[in-house]
Amino acid sequence: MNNPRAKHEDREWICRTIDGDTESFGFLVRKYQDRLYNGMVQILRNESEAEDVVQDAFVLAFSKLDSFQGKSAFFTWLYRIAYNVAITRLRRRKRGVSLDGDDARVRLDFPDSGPLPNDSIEKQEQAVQLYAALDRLSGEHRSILVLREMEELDYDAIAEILELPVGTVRSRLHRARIRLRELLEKVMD
Amino acid sequence: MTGNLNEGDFDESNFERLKVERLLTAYFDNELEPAERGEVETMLAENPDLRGLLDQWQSSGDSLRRLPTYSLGAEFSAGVRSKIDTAAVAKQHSPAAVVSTWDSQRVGMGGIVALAALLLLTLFVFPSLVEDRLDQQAALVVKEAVDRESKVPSETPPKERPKPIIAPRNSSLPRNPGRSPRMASTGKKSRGVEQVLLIQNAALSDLEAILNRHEIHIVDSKGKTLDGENLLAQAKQGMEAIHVVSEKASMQNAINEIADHESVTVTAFTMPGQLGSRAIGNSKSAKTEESSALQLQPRDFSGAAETAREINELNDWFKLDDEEQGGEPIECLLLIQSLSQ
Repeated sequence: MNNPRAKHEDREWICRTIDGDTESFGFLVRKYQDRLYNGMVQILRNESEAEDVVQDAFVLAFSKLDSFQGKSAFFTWLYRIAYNVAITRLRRRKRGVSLDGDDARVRLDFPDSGPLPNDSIEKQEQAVQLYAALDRLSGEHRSILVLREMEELDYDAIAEILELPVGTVRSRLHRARIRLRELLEKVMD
Repeated sequence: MTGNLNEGDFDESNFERLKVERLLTAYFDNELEPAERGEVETMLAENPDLRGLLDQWQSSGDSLRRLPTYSLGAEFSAGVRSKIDTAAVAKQHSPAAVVSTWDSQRVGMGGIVALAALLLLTLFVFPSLVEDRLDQQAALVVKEAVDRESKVPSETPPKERPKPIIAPRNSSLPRNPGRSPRMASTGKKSRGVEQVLLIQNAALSDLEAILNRHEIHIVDSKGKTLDGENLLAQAKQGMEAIHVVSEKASMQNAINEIADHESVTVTAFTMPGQLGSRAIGNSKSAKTEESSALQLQPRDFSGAAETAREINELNDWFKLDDEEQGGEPIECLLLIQSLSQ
């Protein structure tokens, strides 16, 4: 995130894109697509929706690239766009669910890559339990855990993405970690 | 002490507990200054259970990082390109368009800075011209103007909202006649609701009118009504709190009216249960000192129905515990935050 070289490289591609070299945007897409997708899958708990969100986020980012001022990392800005798109989808999902009366939360399957066949039974079991706990975690707790634990973003970046004061990031992270432990204990019982 | 800090393990006030939570979390994430780290390490030495809690967090975090990752195929970028071409957004990136956009941004920021300067001038040079609460609102706007970042594009265009019910600053509209202190009469334990409003370009007088009409007082973290100077100091830290005690429906009405204002975006709701266990540190002093002023009255804002529905849906999704719903008095910490965090 704070790698100056990566930031400079991103800036180069952004400038070229703004100058009309749209191919340069492709470098940014390829660089960040999987990282963004992985985060959105965890937040949305749905691979198909996550792919749509990531695609929409890149298109939105391209259309608004000239408003990116470079004060934060490009990925932080991009992630914030994707997060806003994801939240909109979650609201729509909830609205649809309230009409149908189904459970709003969908269960996410393991990706094709895992759990790895060579993993021990114990590790695979842990992964299954973790997935079950994540499924039951509230959206905002899951989001902040993904940003911190999986994306390993610092508080400033998390605050920017979630549009929260840093103090709230701290306390929400605290509660999210407590809640995750509680849920893990429940699913292990 | 168990690992669950939300269950009232600390003897200190709730405010102290919140402080400890934040310190502990930031310590774990290596986001503390050396002096604060020393404070936490002393705390950990005195309480081994807290160390156990950190070990649990480490274990959970390690497990999360070991989860298998998802990836998109090599053809994904081509799909993005195709969608960009289809949307014909590429044409927006002609050099002329870019220059024009940057120029307009400079003008926009200049205007905001000018507004901030004007407000500061009003606050500090002509303080007698403004009331205390007006000072507080001004500080919010100043904070926003100073720290504003470029707004992230949203997926959907802004909705057409019904015209907000906004009384002018010196309106003669009755302000909650016949208020009654429900908290005192019910005797039920209050519970927490945290809501965050992002104030974009809230007109000072409009926001003030809403807050006045609902008798919402801005207080600091200890429940004391802030004067303009204190609020400015807190605004620099990126957050202000409006602390109220009300029934949920009443609070919702106030939120709805604020949300219905075209210049305000409401996001990031945290529902009962989030603060329910940690409560809010200033509740006691606030209730003691400002009990009558902290009450809200139910109002009918039929124009805000759609907003209310969306708020409820988002709330439902975010909430943790169904049993936290209900008409009992609740304690609310309404955080007003500028968009530019």
